[in-house]
Amino acid sequence: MVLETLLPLAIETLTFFAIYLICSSSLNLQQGYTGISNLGLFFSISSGAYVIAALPTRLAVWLYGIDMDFVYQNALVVSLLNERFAQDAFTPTFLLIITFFAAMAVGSILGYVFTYLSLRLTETYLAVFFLCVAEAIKIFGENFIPLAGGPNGILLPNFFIWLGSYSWIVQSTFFIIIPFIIFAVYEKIAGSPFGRLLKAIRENELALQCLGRNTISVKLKVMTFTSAFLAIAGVLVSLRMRSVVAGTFDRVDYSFWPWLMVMLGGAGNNLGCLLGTFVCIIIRRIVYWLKFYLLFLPVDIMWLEYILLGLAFMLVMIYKPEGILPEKVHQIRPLNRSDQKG
Amino acid sequence: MEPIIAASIVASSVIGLMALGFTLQFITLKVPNLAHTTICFSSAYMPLSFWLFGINPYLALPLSFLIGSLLSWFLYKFLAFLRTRGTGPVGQMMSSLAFGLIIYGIMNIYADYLSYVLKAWARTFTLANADIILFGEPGIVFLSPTLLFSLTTFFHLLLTRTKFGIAIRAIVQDYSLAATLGVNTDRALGIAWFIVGGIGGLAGAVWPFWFSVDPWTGPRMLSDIFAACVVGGLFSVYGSILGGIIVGGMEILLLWGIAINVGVWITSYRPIIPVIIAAITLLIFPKGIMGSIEMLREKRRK
Repeated sequence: MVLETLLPLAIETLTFFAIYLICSSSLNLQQGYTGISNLGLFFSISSGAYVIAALPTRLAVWLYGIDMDFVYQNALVVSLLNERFAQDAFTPTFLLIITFFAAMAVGSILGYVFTYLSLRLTETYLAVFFLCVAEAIKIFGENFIPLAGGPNGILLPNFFIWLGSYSWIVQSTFFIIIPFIIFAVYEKIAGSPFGRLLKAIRENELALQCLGRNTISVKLKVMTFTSAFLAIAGVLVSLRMRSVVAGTFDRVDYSFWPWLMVMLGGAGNNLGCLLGTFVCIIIRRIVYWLKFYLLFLPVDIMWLEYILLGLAFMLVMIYKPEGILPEKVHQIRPLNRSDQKG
Repeated sequence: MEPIIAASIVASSVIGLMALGFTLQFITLKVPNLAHTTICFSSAYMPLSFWLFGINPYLALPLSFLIGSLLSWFLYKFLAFLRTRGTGPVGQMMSSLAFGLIIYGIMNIYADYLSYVLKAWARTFTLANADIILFGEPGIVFLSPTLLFSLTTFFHLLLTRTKFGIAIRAIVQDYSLAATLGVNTDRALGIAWFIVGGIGGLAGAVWPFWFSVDPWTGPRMLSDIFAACVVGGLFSVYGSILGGIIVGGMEILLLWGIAINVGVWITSYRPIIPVIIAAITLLIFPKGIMGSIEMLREKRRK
């Protein structure tokens, strides 16, 4: 009985954690390793969500020859698609693969364009520019109904329904594995010569430019591929919620929380980022459950989350500005023993 | 007066005043204060509270100034404390955002309190009905530009005619050198943040006399203020005021012009306009108006 209750809760928390791990580790590569302050993390995440809202379901409607408008007859179309997907493994899987590639393409293009636009700004103003751009994209998504249903959002069909009773467990595993693959990629990059180049840019960009390195091109590359991975996070969030509501991709949930995770764990350290994400997710879950015990208060308890989040960040900055696991200097092995002796 | 013209006057004046504070805070600490607009609009709840208790909302303006000042001063103290501990600009900027979130949470709780206890519509409100009428027009149409010009003049005199102003300008030029030469940098910056926070508080408090306000108005307006600073020139206080007037006016008038030709639906995209303005400015003349003027001057000198 306990297992039946706790297992779904644990898996649900783990999927939540895994998806946030993409956000925080992407930010860690941008900010922690390269020194690009991106406060508008949610523009890449929401771009992925918009892709899954606009592309695969329309394609499915077209493939199955359903003569209905996906946005304006959303609930009906979703139920019809669920019926079709239950008997057809190929189409939903194919659509899902297309969606991931399309989301990555859109995320990377947006990341490239906005980074290119903002290259002339200083570090902190760059962060504000990204924030404003992300807000603009959010407002566009909230109002442009054909994209993601506008303010009411849009429902998505279950792309895993063909798995029957295994649907939930396969889906959860999928949500957990993909973020960890992305995390492994980031960890690999961090330990590579390219990772050291990123840290060098963060420490002294001018010196690298004097040495002939094109730091702007490197920054563009970082923003492009991290934005692609963040778009995957947007797809996963939407798949998990089985809906896309543009307003939910806001600066608090998908920018500020990842910042807190990175700062708490330790910027410039992927393991620290992992730990910071885990701690923050546990805190969020606790606050979420606390809400149900404080319903008697004359105010909405969800606002306490904002206050606690702000206070937590300020306390981290006062007492642990370098994070729980501060960045470690990578020791590079000497080429041979004689070098070591020397 | 055409309501659209009146709206653009109010928006220009308020955004100009807020941009003044944002730029001054940026050039003194080299950190964008992301809580600035939230602080400004936190004081907007004072006129509402006065109105709900049957008092003229304009009487709340001194209190709004004080709230803006105190919050801004407190934030300055916190950021200065972080700086002494070696926290970099990004850490300080994020701390200002965290501070803004706390204020946002408190504003929402206060709005909930007014809604539940006083049964008032406090989540989204406007005080247009509570405004006084002067020469057949709402008082805010006269008050907001008056505030902009008088406070800008006051600030200009403060910067150019007083020892405090000299100290501030010295700090902006070189913080360490100013401190070495005996300027009490902490006190001077504390006072500067107090004053511009108060000005922002006043600006936020007059906004609901024409436009609607909700707790998210402040964070949402950050785009406008940022665009104003980019248009005016990132490092110029006067430029940002000019940028605020341009962005505020353009946002209303441009949208009105487009809405007439395209349809009213376009008005929901209003918050995107400042971002487009900022992006175009960054592409065409990234130094803004004042930066471009400075470049022209340099060329003439050579």
